[in-house]
Amino acid sequence: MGLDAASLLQVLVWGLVVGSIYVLLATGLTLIFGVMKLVNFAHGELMMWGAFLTILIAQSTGVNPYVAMIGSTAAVGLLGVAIERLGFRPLRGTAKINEIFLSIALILVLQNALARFFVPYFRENAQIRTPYATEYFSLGLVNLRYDFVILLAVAWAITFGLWFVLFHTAPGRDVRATSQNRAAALLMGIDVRRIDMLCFGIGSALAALAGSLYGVVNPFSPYAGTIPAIKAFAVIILGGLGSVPGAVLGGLLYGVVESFGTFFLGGSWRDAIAFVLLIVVLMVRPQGIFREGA
Amino acid sequence: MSRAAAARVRRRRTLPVALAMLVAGGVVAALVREQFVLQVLTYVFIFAIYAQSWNIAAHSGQFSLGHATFLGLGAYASVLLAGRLGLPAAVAMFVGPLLPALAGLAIARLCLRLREWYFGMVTFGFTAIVQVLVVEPFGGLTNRWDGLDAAPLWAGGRAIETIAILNYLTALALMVGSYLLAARLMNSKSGLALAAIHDNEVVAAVSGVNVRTHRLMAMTLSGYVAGVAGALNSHTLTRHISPGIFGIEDSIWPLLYTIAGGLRIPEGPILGTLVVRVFWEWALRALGGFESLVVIGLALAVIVTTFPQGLYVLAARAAGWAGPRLARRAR
Amino acid sequence: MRMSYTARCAGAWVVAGAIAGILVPGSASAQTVRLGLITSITGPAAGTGADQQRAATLAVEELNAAGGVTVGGAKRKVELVIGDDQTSREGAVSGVTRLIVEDKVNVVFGGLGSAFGMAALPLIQERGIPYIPTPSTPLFTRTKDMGPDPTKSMVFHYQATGLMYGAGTADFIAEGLRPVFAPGKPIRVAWLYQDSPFGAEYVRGYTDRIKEKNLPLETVATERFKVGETDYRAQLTKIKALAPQVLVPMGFRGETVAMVQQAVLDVGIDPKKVAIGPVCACVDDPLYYKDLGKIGSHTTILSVYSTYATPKNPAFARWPDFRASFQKRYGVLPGVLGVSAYDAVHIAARAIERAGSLDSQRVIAALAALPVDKYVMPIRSGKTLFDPKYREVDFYLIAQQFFWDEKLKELRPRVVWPHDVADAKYVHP
Repeated sequence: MGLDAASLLQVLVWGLVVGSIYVLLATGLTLIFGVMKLVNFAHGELMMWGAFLTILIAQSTGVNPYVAMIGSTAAVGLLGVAIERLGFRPLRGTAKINEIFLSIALILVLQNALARFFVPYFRENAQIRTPYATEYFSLGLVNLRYDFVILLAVAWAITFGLWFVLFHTAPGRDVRATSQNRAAALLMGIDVRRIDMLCFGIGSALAALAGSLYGVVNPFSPYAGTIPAIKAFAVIILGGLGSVPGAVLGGLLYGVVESFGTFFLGGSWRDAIAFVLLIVVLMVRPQGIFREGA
Repeated sequence: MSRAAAARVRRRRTLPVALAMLVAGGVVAALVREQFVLQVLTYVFIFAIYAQSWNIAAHSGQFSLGHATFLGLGAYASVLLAGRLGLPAAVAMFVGPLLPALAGLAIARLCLRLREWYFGMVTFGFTAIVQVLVVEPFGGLTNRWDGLDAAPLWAGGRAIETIAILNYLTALALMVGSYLLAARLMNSKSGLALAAIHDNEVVAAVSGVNVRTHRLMAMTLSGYVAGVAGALNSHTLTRHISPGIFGIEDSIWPLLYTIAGGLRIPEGPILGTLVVRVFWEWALRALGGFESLVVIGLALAVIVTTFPQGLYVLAARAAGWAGPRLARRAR
Repeated sequence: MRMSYTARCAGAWVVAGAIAGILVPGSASAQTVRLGLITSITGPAAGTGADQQRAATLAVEELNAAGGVTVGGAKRKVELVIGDDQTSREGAVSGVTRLIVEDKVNVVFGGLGSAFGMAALPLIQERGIPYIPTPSTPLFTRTKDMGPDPTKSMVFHYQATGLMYGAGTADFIAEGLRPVFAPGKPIRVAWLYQDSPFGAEYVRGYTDRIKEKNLPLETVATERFKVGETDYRAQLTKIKALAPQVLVPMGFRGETVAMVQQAVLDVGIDPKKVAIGPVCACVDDPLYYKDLGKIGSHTTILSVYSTYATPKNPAFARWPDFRASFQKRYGVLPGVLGVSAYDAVHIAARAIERAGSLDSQRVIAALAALPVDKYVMPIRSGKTLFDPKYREVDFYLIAQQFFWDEKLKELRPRVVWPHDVADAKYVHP
């Protein structure tokens, strides 16, 4: 086994890179959870709709895929608003598990509606091709593709942007207030329903953006969103539901543990080892690393 | 009426329902000759058992997102007992599920402090972990990804049609058995304790309910029942098992069927499995392809947003409204 | 929750009504020859399922254009019935049952996933329906110990197995790559393969062949990944440290594209020093040439059907015509799994004609005795199409090397192995 320092360092870097994708995915999920206390399992399907619309816009207009992402992100954001309005809002106040049921129904609808258009053209999978697909920086030990640099920049810009909006602006204060105590926020004159709609829309748009960036560096299909979304969900559980720092730390930790798990135990252990981490953390801290809503 | 008396009355009423299900199922078996219909109904019965097992855990507030762990372990244990030790499938089917019962106990013990999403995610994680365990350390026993052929439950020179009927009747009987088990449990004193835990654990503990024991009991029982469903499925319908059983889909089914029918109601999983599955098969046949799955998804979304309490409560309300009126007219 | 007695009865009535709802009788006409294609119409494999559906439809249209199939002196039209395995075990069982008991098909054929095909196999065995499966697993006609399985006498496996591909991979590395990369020395080979029955068979075929022929191949790594995985960098980093001369990335199309991209671009495995390939035959599809792009230059593939190249040998003679008619009908080119479904329709039709009857036993006997004929998939030898021992077909495997075509902005292949059909020499970049 190549146990030299160079290999280990590379594995660490790959873990952090993959972890950054998880961070991006988890940020949207945790924003929605913080305010609405619900998890949309169809997050992964919204991701894939984002990637698909990006490839569609880029191919039909010939624009750079990174420009096309603006359109697809906005479109999926609106779709998210519609889903919240028609689906999740009527369920407010009923059993929690109903929300999971609805998101499973949404998975069926979104996944197969996408497959209906996707499969005749792309068959099993497609990849978004950017003009820099084969360009990379060589950093000595590892190469970093331009597309990865963009992905990392966007992921971290969004995470910090979100943090800034939440903690340093008036709308962000309303969101945090709703997240901490919905009833009190309502009494203070905050339109919590609008906050719900806004957060679900933004969360969905972030999923679409994450999906598009994912589709640049990975082949994607209508079915490829489920696993990353579940992992992102595990990440926010690990970090503490509703916590932005938790999502960041959880995402990076998850990526690194997966990467080293694969390196030492082999590829078959990849998913399992990350869940072992989750279970171990929850045994010690049943509310995740950061407490809910922090 | 005292609480105990009320429980007794309710208990008495589950028996006619069980009997009605047996009779209706028997009549269908006697009349229907279409193999495909029998097979769909056998699937419905088996997955209703599986959904019932999830319902039992849910009754105590333990919403599992990884019930495939128990379904799969039950199937593997039973198929291995029948295949390697030569136990008759009919025996292995009830001995094998002791393994998932044990797994249920262990997972419940590990998750005692976890609630809601945290509990759900850890149970989901266990499917991924158990899958690797089945494939890697126990690969020699389980034949890794190639999987194992399952001994048929009914064999020995019978005609295919006879075997189909026997499979159907076995599944029906076990489904009614799981129904009686769930109904008795939910209507018993333990059932009230479980319901109290579901509603509010702290309040339940303060009122003297042993939260720990009851949570462990519910998951152990749930693991066993799910294991029986998995074993039955592999000895009758699929007859071949592979580690794919520890996948996301198989964890989703019980949740889907139970909630559609009626959560924490013993009749819920049965009604839900039947209606959803029959509609599913109909849509696949009538529309075909991706369109059918979109329609199914939309239908499920409409069910849950319009009748969040499930189809059983809807049916019961309809009957409660129509029943007295019909009775009056009859008079 | 308390329920009135009436309410409980109502529940029972809903149950009864729902049961009545599915009592829709099936319809079967005795006038036609009915061929049942079981494949993935929905679910993650639907893309390849669509390819099989198109190819089988084309074959049936060709048969009907020629008047149909002659059964006992009378021409009968052929009807294609599609069963959806929904890319799942239960779906395969349900789909095959429907094909057999409702649609009453005369032959079942096709399929992609070995696990799904195997789940439906007992149904076919107990009813004795002729079955021409096209997933790769040799278990369709063999026992677990790889011996012939007489209880599966109705099964005729029409696909190159993972074992054949694995053996072909070993042969190609020994004969095609070793003289270039490690003349006179054992060549160092690293595997990164799919953790699935398919991947396991592939590696098994490879190691068996090395032992059998005592080939000078040294396997330095056998790393695995889960089906659908997208990140292979940790495994590739480990492989790179072991300094292999050949990297065999074995997986489905999307997986293979990502593996090659990550090996070359991220981990920095230099295609000038390490031969990448042969990749799996299952990726030989027009979209692979498009997706992989320029970085796929000089990589190789082991195929049983090629999207663009045509070796000069009678076994491959039907490729240009077949491609042209498929292109004309659908505007795209098929992949290898589509080709096998196309052939399976013609095989079934010929067997039924020779049997002179639709009786299952007679069709099975005719399939067993069917002579080798011109099919699209290249067949190497044999007195009968299906060899009597394993009821498998001896396919002609070829290795191709990809080169970047500046004009098309896509990769194009040249056949480089075996030497008797090669139209170019392997090029060391």
